[in-house]
Amino acid sequence: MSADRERQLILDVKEGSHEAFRELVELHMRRVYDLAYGFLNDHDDAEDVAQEVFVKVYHSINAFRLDSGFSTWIYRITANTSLDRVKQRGRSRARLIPMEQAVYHAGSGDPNIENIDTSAHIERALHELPTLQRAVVILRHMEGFSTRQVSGILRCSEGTVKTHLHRGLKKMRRLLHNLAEVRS
Amino acid sequence: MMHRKVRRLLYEYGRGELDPVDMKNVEDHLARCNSCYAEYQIMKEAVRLIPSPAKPPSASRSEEYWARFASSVEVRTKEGVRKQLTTNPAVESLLSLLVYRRWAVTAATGVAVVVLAALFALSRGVFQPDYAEELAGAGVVTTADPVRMELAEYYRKSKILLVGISNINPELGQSVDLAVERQVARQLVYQTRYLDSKQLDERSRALVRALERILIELANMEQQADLKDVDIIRAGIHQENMLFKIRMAESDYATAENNRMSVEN
Repeated sequence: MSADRERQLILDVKEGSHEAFRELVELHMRRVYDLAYGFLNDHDDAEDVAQEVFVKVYHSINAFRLDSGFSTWIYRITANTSLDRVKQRGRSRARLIPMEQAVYHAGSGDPNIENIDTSAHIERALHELPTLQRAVVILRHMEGFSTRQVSGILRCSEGTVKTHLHRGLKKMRRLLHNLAEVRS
Repeated sequence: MMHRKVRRLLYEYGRGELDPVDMKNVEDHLARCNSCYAEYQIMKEAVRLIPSPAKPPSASRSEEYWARFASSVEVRTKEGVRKQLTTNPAVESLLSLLVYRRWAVTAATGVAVVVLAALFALSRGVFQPDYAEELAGAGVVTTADPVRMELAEYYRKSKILLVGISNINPELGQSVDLAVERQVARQLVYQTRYLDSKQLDERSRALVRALERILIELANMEQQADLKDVDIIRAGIHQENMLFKIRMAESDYATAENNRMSVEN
C-alpha cells in the first residue's frame, strides 16, 4: 500500500470512517501481533495486546500528526503495551525463571528444568537483559526492523541502537553458554 | 577506524548491510586487529545462537482468525474502555522514556518542576501575550517573532551544552559528574516540546527533533557517568553533525535579524 493511501485512510479514520479503520487494522495487524509475540512469547497475550494496541490507536488517532510516521507510532505503542503486559504478568504469575535460579536447578538435575527447550533458554536470556537492550534485540535482531526504524520506535539515536544491540547480543550469548555448560 | 566504531558496526557487517565504504573499512580493520576480530566471532556466534524466527508467529494463526481480527478490535472499541485505553503520540513517547530509561522517573520529576516554574512565571505575566506591547510601550522596538527568538535562545543554550559535553576529558578510569548537564538537558527537552508544538520551518523542526533525541539521552544518563557513556552521546553529536547545524541555524537567524533591523531603520 502506498504512503498516500495510508495517509488518506488516517484522514478518513479521523473523520470517523469505520471502513478506513478496518483497512488500517488489516494492514498492520500481523506485524503488530508478531512484535507483541516477540516480547511476550505467548499467543493469547500477543492477541490481547495486539487488539489493545488498535483500540488505543482508534481512540487516539485525532492526536496523531500526519507528518510523523504512522508505523513508527503504532509499533511504539505495541512495544510499550507489551512491556506493560510483561510487568503485569511478572506480578500476577512468576512465569519466567530467573537465569541464576535456572542454572542452579539445571545443575541439580531438576526434571522440570530438563524439559526446557532452546527457545525457552532464549526467552529467559532475553528477559535477563535491561529493558532498552531487550527491546533493541527484539526489534532489530528478532523482528528485523532497520536501525533507523528502531531508533524511531524507541526514541533514541541510531548509535545507541547499535551499541545496545552489540551489548545485548553479547550478554545473551554469555548467558546461553552458562546455561548450556551447567546443563552439560 | 576506531575499535569502538568498528564494534558497533559488526552486526550490520555480518549481515552485509553496510554501505561499500564502511564494509571495506571494517574488513580492513578486522584483518589487522585481533581483538576486534575476536569480537566479530563472538557476535557471529551470538547471532547463530539466537536465530530470528523462521516464520512469523502470526503465520501460526489461521486465515479465518485474521479475517475475524478486525471485527474483534471493533467490538473492543465499543466496550466503553476509552478512558483506560486512550493514548496519543506524546504520551507514547513519554511512556517510551519511562519504560526504557533508568533515570526516567527523575527526569519526569525534573520536567514537572520546570512546568511548575513556567506556570509560576505565567501567573506573574512574564510570558503573557501583551509582553511585546509592554516593551513597545516602554519605547523598545520589537517586531521580532517570539518563537524565532525562543528558538535562537534554545540553539544558543544547546550549543553551549553540546560543546561542553564534547570537551569533557576525564582521567582514564574516572567517572564524570554530569549533574549540571543533565539539569540543563531536561530544561531544554521541555523547551523542545514547546517549540515542536509551534509553527516552524521544516529545517528548524528537523534540527529541533534531532537535538531532542540527544537531549533526552543526556537527561537520562546517570549522574556519575562512565567515559564510554559520554562517548555514546558524543558519537551522536558527531554523527548528526549537530554543532555545525546549530551554527548554520544561528547564522540564518542573525542574517534575518540584520535584515529586519535594516528595514526598521
